[in-house]
Amino acid sequence: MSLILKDIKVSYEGMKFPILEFDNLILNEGLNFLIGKNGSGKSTLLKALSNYSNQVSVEGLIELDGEKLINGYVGLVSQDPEKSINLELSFLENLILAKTNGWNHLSFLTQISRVEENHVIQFLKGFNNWELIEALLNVEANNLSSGQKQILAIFMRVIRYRKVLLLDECTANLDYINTGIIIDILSEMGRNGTIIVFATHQRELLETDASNIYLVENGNITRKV
Amino acid sequence: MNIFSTPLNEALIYSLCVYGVYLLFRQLRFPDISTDNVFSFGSISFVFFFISNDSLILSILLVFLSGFLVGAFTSLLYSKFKIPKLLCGVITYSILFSINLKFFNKPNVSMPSRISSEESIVLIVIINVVLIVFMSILLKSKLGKSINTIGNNPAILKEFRAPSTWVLLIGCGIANALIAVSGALTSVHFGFSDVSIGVGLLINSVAAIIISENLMIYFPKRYHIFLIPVGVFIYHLLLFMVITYLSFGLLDYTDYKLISGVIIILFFLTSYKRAKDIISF
Repeated sequence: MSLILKDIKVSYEGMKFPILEFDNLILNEGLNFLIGKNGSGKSTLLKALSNYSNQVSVEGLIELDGEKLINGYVGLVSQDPEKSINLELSFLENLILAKTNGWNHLSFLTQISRVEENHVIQFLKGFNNWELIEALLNVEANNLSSGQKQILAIFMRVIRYRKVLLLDECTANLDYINTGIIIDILSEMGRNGTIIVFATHQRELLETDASNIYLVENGNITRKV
Repeated sequence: MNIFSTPLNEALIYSLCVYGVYLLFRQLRFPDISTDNVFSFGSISFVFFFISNDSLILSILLVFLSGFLVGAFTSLLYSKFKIPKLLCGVITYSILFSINLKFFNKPNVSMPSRISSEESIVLIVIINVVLIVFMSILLKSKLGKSINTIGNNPAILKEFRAPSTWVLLIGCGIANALIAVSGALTSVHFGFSDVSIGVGLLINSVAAIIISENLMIYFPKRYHIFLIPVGVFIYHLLLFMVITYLSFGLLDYTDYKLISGVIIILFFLTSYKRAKDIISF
């Protein structure tokens, strides 16, 4: 599965010139790093891909597996995890909320959430870091460390969207241990078939998986080898 | 008379109202300040319904339903007409005041047939138990989690494409329904209703919630919802003690709003961060 972008022009409302303008970009399953200076357009690209932000307008074709990318396939995690989770719910409850679709949010039957609880746990058990996650399941998000909050925010989007995950500097505030755990988890998600687009300034991350690095510069995106 | 009996009676009547305010202020974080008049509305409309159909249970159900509609109206003012949250509550508050006066054309009205006190206590206890169980199931359910999320982080609910308008409508509806039923219970208990019966209840409820929240620290999360009536009881006990033993004849029952106000101010002065976690919009 891959995400194909063709003849893309991305601009903010009221701006004459596009921030990003490029012909062709193919993002594959696994970790894809976006690097570049501040203001080069990394976050703008993520916003364009997440397409639930209405600040940017996008021209061109964005396809996932030959089909036009529509709303509800991509999740975006930003630098501040507290914006992406509900602090008063536990780790597990947050994940169940993320998995819930549309009208099911109004469900009054606690039995249904128990069935979904098992689905979520089965999904998490597939990860190498399961032991670490298991200890957090019933902890209220408020009492998690910032690294754990970020792990929760990422899992919420993966459990929801599965296909494409966008990360905007999501490890910038974390120490190297937590960063390592997150990269581990992301690599595993990548191997399971999720396309991960990760905008970052942290050089050390690039050493872990140097296969797909893209440099965003002057409105253009080039693949670094 | 036993010192505990007055606070216990009051806890039985007002607990549901506090549950309503808890749902509004603590879970939905929606500053719906129409509580006082919704309570009076519940109380008056109960008498009205009881006169017309002579069935206690049916009248309570009708009060629940009309309270729900009032809450739904307030939430729609916000979600459909984009009126600021605080103003939505004020609008409902004012409209209800006029409606309450219209209901009976006179400031207070008695129940047509006085219900015996044993009968009323049994009814009040049953309704409390049923609705508290209902609340505990609600807050555990997915709807409850969505209600909590709309208060704490509405953006993620939008991201996950939840029907936010409906979540808010149902939350506000249930909260106001509980407040109205609580008003109906006062009519059952006292045998009469009055347009100003609900005045000051919001501030009392907030004070009771603060006491309950401070109890909650010492208990596991699954018991939290059941601590609210305990908080209401402690609050009324405190009030009773202060007025009877500590005020040296300077305070009486008309000053209870003053005491509630002081409790809330003291709480904010002594533990600001926690107070702000509990009451903030």
